[in-house]
Amino acid sequence: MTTETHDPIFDTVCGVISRIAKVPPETVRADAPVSGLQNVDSIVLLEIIVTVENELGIEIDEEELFAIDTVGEFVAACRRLVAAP
Amino acid sequence: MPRSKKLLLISPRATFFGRNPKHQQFKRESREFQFFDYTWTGFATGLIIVGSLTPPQYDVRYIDENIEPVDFDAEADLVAVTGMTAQADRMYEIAAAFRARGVPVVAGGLHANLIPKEVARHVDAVCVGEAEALWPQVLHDFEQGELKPMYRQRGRADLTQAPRPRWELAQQRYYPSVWVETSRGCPHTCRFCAATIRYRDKLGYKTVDQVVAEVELVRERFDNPYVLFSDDNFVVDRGRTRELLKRLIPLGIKWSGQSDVSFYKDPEILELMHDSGCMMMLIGFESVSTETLTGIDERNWKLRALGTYVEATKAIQDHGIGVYGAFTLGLDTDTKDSFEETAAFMKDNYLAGIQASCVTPFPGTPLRGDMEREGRILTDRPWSHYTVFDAVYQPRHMTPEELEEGTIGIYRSFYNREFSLRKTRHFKSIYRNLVRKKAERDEALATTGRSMV
Ligand code: B12
Ligand code: SF4
Repeated sequence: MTTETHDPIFDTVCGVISRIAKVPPETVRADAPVSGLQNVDSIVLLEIIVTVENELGIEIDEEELFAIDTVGEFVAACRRLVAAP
Repeated sequence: MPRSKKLLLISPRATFFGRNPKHQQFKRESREFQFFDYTWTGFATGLIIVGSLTPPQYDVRYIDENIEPVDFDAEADLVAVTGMTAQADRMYEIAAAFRARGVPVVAGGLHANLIPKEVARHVDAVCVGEAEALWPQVLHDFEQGELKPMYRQRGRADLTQAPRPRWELAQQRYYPSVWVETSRGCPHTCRFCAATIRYRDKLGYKTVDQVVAEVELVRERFDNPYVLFSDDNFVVDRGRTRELLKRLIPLGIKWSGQSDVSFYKDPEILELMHDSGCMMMLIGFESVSTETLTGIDERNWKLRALGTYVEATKAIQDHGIGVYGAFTLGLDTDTKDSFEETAAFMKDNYLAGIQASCVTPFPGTPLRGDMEREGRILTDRPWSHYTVFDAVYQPRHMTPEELEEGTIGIYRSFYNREFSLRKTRHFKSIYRNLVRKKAERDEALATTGRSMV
């Protein structure tokens, strides 16, 4: 059992990936590399990022985006921005 | 019960990207390029179609040598090979190995269509044309022990009657993308184009119902497939394209295709493309130089389109569809400055992706005729170098090495961290707009029950 299941930010990210990449939500895992997600090339990834930004009311800096390797790191970056004042 | 006959369908290996060390090194090292390029793979549709035309009493196996080795001792009664030019040398080796065991080999596909007489020297039978029109006769003759050296198609196959490709043959292997065909041919006549030369007389179309049924099947068979439409030119008949796109929307796929640039003028098509899951359209811009585009096709269509490239790219990308611009360098009016001019266009217009290839005189093309007459073909380069990223002829204003170096220079200047950051910023603002518009549309729909225009 992973902790992500009760994390609303993980759920949002996972929901957006699943909706946009058209993959079942249970296949999106925290340790999955973002550049290896099924159906996700660089354009799809951008659509995912912008939709997550919109849903969480945040803006992720492009430099920061480039440092992100996994879905878990993406969720962590979102969490930091949501918590920031 | 008689033993079922074994048919092996083999797609020979070839190099992805250029063979020369600079291209290979770039491919190994550029994370931006790898990320962009990983969906650009796939099976050989021609063989999957041959499989669908083969009756059930045959035991059919598909082997993609780019993924798995060929077992030259495998039981086989008949071998069918396919290939584009870069695969030809290996196709001949594979054919020789099976023929040495007495197994007959039949060849079809692009290279066999371009230069059938040469291919005929390496196999038992060559098929010039569409599998739908030829394969049943080939099998009939094989069963009678009377294979003919050459099968030539007369008239086009009726694609509306074509059986769907037998994708299950390729299903066990992991392909990030699945190719689907909706039409064959292109109305243009680019001098270097090897893809459409055989379909010049007439375009062939599948019906919209057929395509929808095929995409539905692909969706069932492959896990959330990324569909790539292999049509030479996806948007020729705009009415049909509109109808097809409307029917794709409920299927919820992600897809990409290739086309000439003209569809940018049709906002309805652009919206339908985005709504139906279009990620990217590969567009053959070829060049940003007036001189180079002059005479590139018989009607100077591309030259006339040049003035629209900037506006077109913006219109298409503003609809959330990435433009994957394909450019070919090294034609006679290109100089060493052409590389920088091309890279500047790509970056100024924030193309989503690019292909910068070395112009390649493929056999059977008008360009090949010219180059042969002028003695400019590099005869020491075998077919396996016809990758479109390796120089195989003597350009007029540079050396072959400079041509390879110039094209890889374009890649370096495009696929790097700095430009990727800028591109990301650009696309994020486009997506922000689109996501906002979509939210407004959904809200309007929820409150009024009517969609906004
Ligand atoms: C899909 C595609 C790919 C896919 C799948 C490749 C594959 N194995 O088929 C991928 C992305 C992997 C690919 C890679 C490459 N590709 Co490619 N690709 C295409 C594309 C877009 C469509 C081809 C297609 O599927 N057509 C539809 C099928 C049904 O047509 P077909 O194969 O001709 O088959 C028909 C007939 O020929 C016949 N037939 C075919 N085989 C057989 C066999 C028998 C026995 C019989 C009877 C009949 C038969 O029946 C079929 C139905 O009628 C074309 C562009 C275009 N629009 O044509 C470029 C194209 C074929 N590719 C090209 C090139 C250069 C390459 C690369 C070499 C580039 C590179 N260096 O990376 C690589 C090679 C990689 C490799 N290791 O093999 C060139 C080839 C030019 C040439 N003369 O060789 C083309 C024309 C693009 C271009 N304009 O430059 N490619
Ligand atoms: S537009 Fe593309 S497919 Fe059509 S003839 Fe020119 S290069 Fe070939």
